Amino acid sequence: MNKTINLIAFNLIGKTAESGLDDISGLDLQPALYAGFTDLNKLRHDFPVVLGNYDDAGSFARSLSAIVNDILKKNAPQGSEGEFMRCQILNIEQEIRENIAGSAGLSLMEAWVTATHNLRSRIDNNLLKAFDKCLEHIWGALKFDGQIIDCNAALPIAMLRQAWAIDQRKKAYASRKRVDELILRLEHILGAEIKKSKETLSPNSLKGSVGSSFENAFDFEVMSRVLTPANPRDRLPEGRRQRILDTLKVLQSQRFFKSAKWSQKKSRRAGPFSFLFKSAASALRAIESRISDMVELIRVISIAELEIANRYEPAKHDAFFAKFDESSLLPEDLAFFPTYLIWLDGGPKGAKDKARILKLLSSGMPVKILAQNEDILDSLTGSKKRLPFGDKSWQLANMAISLNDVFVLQSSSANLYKVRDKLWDGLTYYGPALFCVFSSGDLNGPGLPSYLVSAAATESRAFPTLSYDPSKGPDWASRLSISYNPQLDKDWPVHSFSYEDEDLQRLSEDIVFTFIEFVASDKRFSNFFARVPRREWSEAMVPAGQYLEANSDEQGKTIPYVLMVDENHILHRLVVDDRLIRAARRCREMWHSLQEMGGVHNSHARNLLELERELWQAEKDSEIAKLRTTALADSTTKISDQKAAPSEPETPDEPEQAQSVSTDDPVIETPRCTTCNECTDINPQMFSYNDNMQAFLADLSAGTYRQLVEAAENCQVSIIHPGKPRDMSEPNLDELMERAALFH
Amino acid sequence: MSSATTDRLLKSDTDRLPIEDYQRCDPRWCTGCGNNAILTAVQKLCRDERLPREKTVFVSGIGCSSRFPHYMNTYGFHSLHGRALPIAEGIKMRRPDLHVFVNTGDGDCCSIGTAHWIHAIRYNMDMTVLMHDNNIYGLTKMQTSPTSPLGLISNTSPRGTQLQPINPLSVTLGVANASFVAQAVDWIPDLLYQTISRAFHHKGFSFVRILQRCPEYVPVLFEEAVKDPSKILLLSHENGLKISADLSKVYRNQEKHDPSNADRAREIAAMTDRIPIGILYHNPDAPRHEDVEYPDKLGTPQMIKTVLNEEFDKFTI
Ligand SMILES: Cc1ncc(C[n+]2csc(CCOP(=O)(O)OP(=O)(O)O)c2C)c(N)n1
Ligand code: SF4
Ligand SMILES: [Mg+2]
Repeated sequence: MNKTINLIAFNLIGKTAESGLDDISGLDLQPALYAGFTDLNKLRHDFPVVLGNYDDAGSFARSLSAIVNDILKKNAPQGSEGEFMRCQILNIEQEIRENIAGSAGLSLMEAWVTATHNLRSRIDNNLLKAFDKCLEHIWGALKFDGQIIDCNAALPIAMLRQAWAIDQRKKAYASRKRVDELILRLEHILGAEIKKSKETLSPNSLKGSVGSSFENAFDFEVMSRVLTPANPRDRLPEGRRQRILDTLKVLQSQRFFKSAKWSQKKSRRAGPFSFLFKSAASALRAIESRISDMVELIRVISIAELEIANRYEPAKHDAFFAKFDESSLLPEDLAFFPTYLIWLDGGPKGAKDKARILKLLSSGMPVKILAQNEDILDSLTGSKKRLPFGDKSWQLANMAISLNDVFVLQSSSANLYKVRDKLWDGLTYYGPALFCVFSSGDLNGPGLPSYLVSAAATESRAFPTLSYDPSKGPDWASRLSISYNPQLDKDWPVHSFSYEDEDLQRLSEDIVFTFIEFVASDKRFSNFFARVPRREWSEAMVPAGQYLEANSDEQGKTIPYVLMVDENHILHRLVVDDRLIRAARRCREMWHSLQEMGGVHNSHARNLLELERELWQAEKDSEIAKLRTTALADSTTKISDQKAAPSEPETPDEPEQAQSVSTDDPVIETPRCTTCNECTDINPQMFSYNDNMQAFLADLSAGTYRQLVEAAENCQVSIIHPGKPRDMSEPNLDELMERAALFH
Repeated sequence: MSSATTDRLLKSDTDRLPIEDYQRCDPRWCTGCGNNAILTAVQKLCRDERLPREKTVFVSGIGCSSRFPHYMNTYGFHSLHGRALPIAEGIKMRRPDLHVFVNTGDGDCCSIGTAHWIHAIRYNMDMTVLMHDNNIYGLTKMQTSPTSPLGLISNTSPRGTQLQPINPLSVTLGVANASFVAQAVDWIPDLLYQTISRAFHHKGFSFVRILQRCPEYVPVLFEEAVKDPSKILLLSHENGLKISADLSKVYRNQEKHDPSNADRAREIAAMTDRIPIGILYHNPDAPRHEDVEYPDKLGTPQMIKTVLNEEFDKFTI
């Protein structure tokens, strides 16, 4: 009895003094589920990744394992023959993984060379020859190269920057080409003018163009007089010439894309803009200072395009372009510009910074913001009294989603490789994008691999993965995806866990991984837990996951604990402070609402389904009741009575639509006319073409019945129907009517 | 490609030229010639699509049908017999901004110009090709053409032609990279217009074979098909032609044919009992020459000079 009270006391008030419970700050405990993951180097997982610098969008990042698998698939022979090679290559992979901490900044090729060197020094002498042969073969197969990087704090920006650089290069190439093309085409317009100018057609210039061999064969004075145009209509209007010149000037001096001419001449003008920023404030300043240049460039691009299409009409367009300003920019036009990559290491710094981020995201500019967070639990550390769940990290993503047209990706760095396609989508999305990434730093004490901590953040729902892509459709269902989270439909993921008990019996149980386990791995929060000595373990203690599920009645009778292991792989139970339980509940509620938005256990859908089911049931019930009564009635009705039952009258076939025109009136089926000119040749007043160049009866009185009949006879597609004559005094009517009868 | 602002401005510009502004002079085709209907359909298209006349070019070879560019008030190139396609390709390569149309006859395309035709299909450059097929050489006064039906008596085959005709639809469908293949007849204006319009909107090489009546030399050839709707099979589909209720009353043979179905397209092309009309095949994703082989560098005067000089330098005097 006494010990239970102690536990409850800790659970409720969080004090360890004199309770018989152990302070855990000195113990090296980890959540039981971490036991298998402490040495990640032994495991083939998504990391390290290699950041390839290829134009192919999909391959900006590939995991080392994927590269190795690919090599094996293509090169190692099937069966035992390939066994040696497979073994060596997997050894190389393992070696690279083990050296990864020391190979920061290396390329895969470099890391590969070092790894093979190390392996070679350790290999048995009589295998050396085979080993070298194998290496030679594989070296040629190693096609994919780039910086090799592990899952650490440097990963998010490295991955994003790589993808950004590839996209930026492609975009710059296309945009620059477009600008250069416009310049060339505008120069053509001016060039045509020069070719027709007096100067070009002057005797001297003509002489120059013929060259010295034949210069005596021509009289250039006369040639010039003949060629010089007198027609002023051929000249480019002065207004247009000036407009083209002004446009050219802006196109040639733009600073958004390095132009071809940039490298040719050492010009004195300012170099191209940079688009990489490390704070929201500096990015905002840059955008604000460039906005007028952007407006001007889009303005002249449109003018140039209209000029080139020969569609610029001063009366219509001058006024429009005079008023062209920031508000005239369309989102698609903004996408023409390079994208701004803004790396906020540590996330927003204070409310002002948050406001700036909001401003950037709602600017419509192609800004791509990486808000990288090393600590998602920091809001737990501050206040002692009230322990809010660390929802600060969610705020930014939520805020961005509420803007509607911002692409949002939230992911821990461990998941970043899995969501690389989304990352690419966000970068190439035409509007603003926000990437919220949690990448564990050293805050929670050394020892745990960064990969493990950030993976656990996703696993424990403390930092779920989500993507919101406004380009995917108009509704939540198409835009929001939470499918990258483990065991989506559950509150917390469940894993099976095997261990041996005191009698060395192998046991296995399902362990729920909750927010509490995640916090328990963080040394800073050791005062929220207390170790319960094994002799004190009791029935009343339940795993935190189970405790969170229970109703308050049951909760009153139990004490929540988390299962931990120490460095000797011995299991321990820690009782949990109630404040943490409340934080975990809040985390679960956040997860629930995310689930709902992501279409899992959606309450609206559930209610609707329930309603539909009820309606359906009611309908079926009434149908069944009806059937019952008719069946009852039927059994009492005699067969002879049946004809009394009214039967549905058969609907007759719809009558052919009555001809609205009587056969007495002449008709042309105009839509079928093939413009063959037969009828119009006979009488162009009587037969005429409409706007579509198809014949109709323009003026019956302009011709005779004979002409009508002849036209009908000549018509290639027999669409003229002469009808009856109007003027009965016309000669030979009998014969004509007989001929006309063929065309009724 | 143009900026969204330019697109908006151009879209808001609803002025369109009347059809007369696309007519240049009265055609010198025989009265009753099916070419007249084709000309009308094309002029209607130009008007409805508001094609700028200075941005539109009609290229032809030699033949009655190849006189077409003379009657269009746009740019035109009445070229050499069988050579319309290479010339059109040259124009498109240098001036991708132009709308390029090609008018060619059955002699022009399927006889002297066959090699160009095959390769033009393969290149898949964005242009609309109208093959006016009257089954005869009209301009040179009635010689057998590759599409003349078996037994047709003409100046070159007085005892009737002995060779099987070529089937332009099957040939086109058989060439790698075919992307748009359709058949129309000059005497159903609604469908002729729709087909040409769909061909125009296809980004790539669109080949439309148009059965065209030549009342002068082969007056009875298509007579049965004109008079008897049961000889016609209309191909309809949401991605193909829309058949109006009025037409459906007359032409009762109809098949719902999905133009992405190449196998069925080949079967339809090979039909002999009926004349199929509509879009047989459409693949909007076939690679286009201008995308695959687009020059990497702009042809600036400086560039052209450099390249020429490099070439000249290969010949030392
Ligand atoms: C190189 C060359 N060979 C032959 C001719 C003669 N020729 C002119 S038109 C023509 C045939 C045209 O037939 P088609 O293309 O079907 O046009 P249609 O007149 O039937 O519309 C021929 C062989 C020519 N003009 N040039
Ligand atoms: S000869 Fe035939 S094809 Fe040529 S214009 Fe006359 S009808 Fe038309
Ligand atoms: Mg012909």
